[in-house]
Amino acid sequence: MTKSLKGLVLCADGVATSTIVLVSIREACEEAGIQANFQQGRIADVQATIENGNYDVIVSNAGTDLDLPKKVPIFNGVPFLTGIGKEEVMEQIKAIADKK
Amino acid sequence: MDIIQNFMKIFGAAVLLPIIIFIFEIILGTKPAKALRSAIYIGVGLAGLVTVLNPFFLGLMSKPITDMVVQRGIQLPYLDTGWALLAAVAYSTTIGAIIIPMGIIINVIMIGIKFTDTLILDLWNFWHWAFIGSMVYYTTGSYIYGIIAAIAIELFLLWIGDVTAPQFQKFFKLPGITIPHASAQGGIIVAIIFRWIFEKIGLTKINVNSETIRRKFGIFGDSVVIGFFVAVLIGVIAWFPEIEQLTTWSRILALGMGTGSFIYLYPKATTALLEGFAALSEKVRSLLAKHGSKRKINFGMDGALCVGNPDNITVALLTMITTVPLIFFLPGNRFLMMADLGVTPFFLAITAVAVFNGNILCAYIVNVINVAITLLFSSAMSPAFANLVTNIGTKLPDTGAAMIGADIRPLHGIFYYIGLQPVVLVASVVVILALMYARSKNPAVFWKLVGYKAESKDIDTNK
Repeated sequence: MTKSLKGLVLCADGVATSTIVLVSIREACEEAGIQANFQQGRIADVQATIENGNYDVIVSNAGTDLDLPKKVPIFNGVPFLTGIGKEEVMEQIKAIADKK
Repeated sequence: MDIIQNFMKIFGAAVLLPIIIFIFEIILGTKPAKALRSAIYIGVGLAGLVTVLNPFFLGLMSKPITDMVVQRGIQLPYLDTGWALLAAVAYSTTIGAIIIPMGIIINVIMIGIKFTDTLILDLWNFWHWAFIGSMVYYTTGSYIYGIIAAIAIELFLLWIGDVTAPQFQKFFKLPGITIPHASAQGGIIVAIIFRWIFEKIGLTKINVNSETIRRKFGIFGDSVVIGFFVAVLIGVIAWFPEIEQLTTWSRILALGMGTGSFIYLYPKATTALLEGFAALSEKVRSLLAKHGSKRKINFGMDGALCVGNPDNITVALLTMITTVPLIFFLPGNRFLMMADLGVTPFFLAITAVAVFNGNILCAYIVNVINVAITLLFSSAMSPAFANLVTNIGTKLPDTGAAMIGADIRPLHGIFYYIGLQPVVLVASVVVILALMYARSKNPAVFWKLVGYKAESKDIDTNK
């Protein structure tokens, strides 16, 4: 049974930093054997996106203190940009995939 | 140089950069399949921006802009097609081709001689330096001055990134990060000047509620919707004599939808470009980050990390709304900001909001001033940009009185004009290096300028 994960990568404009995080997470998930389906989103639309999507996890570059309509585990994306602390966040994300 | 330029003219910008990036990646040990995929994505992103989206938007807006300029006498010929085109063009020049290795080497040297504490991991944004360098090169004809101009802005950004670091880290809650990003720091000089003025006249004591404003004006945060309305406005102005005809309205609405479509799609093309970059970025980042951990180094990142801050959003929204009348009524403005209406006010607000510690009123005033400066620089420099675009082999469609415009933020503009004067340029590099040295010896003096109240524990952390 392959582990799968549906996630949302958040950025202020949905372009620059979220793309880098997206590529980084996608590769890390591939290495961990998780089938990852990550999409990009903007902070401005986060409420609607979460409401309509079925996300297992959120990775945000614009703060983790968000007012969300549903309870979804949210992580800071900066470790994926700097490389520092990336393994710790990936462990937590892997744990979520394992629990599914 | 000529061989490369001929090569570029034959193959076009959309092919040269992918080839260069592919070669770099292979040199750094990336797997060929991965390098090939990322190179193709870069080409796809470039092609999307340069050959698909830009000609579409320019063509769409050419008739209404020409009518508006020629028949209604409203001089707004320079059309803003977004910053992504500037990045695409910057990377497609001979300076753009070497900016990444050169920029990294300079950064590492500056860290080595302790002139900076920042290691820039955000390679994508080296395009800003290449952009100014290329503009200077193509305007002055001197490759050397172009290179020096690019280096000058990099050094300045490293310095200002370090100077603003404590305040930004505190205000945006980003430990260990600096923002040496040209667009994010675009408004810093004005912000520093006005912080001093506003504090003297007590304006910084007036408080305005950020959240209520955001809730009331939140709808304006959607740049697609704003773009639609501004385009409709342009159509109404341009075709006002025929406003009673139904066909005119169908043209106006088509204009709005086409514009909204462009604003929606151009970030997607940019994402393709960035995805292609990500492989190279990742490789260099892992090599550099290992190097950096020996000393207390800050990591230089993109301003997008700060844009989502609630106070930043409030100030930016208010500024965005103010920008629309500003475009029409600012004397001397010839720049029709469209695609970047939802971008520039947000990035320029970063310095304003941090330097004033979240004071909405002061930040708003400073941000509007910075946008006004942007409009004027853009008006002045758009012809040089159009010249650059043609010189790298891109054919611009015939669009009547409408011309391609470049969104030039204050810092970019300042360094361009510095770059045009060789003596001033060399002097500025010397001054910046001196400032870097001064900061390394006595940082607190500079921190105060950008609104940071240093506590005693901070004096030791910069050793």
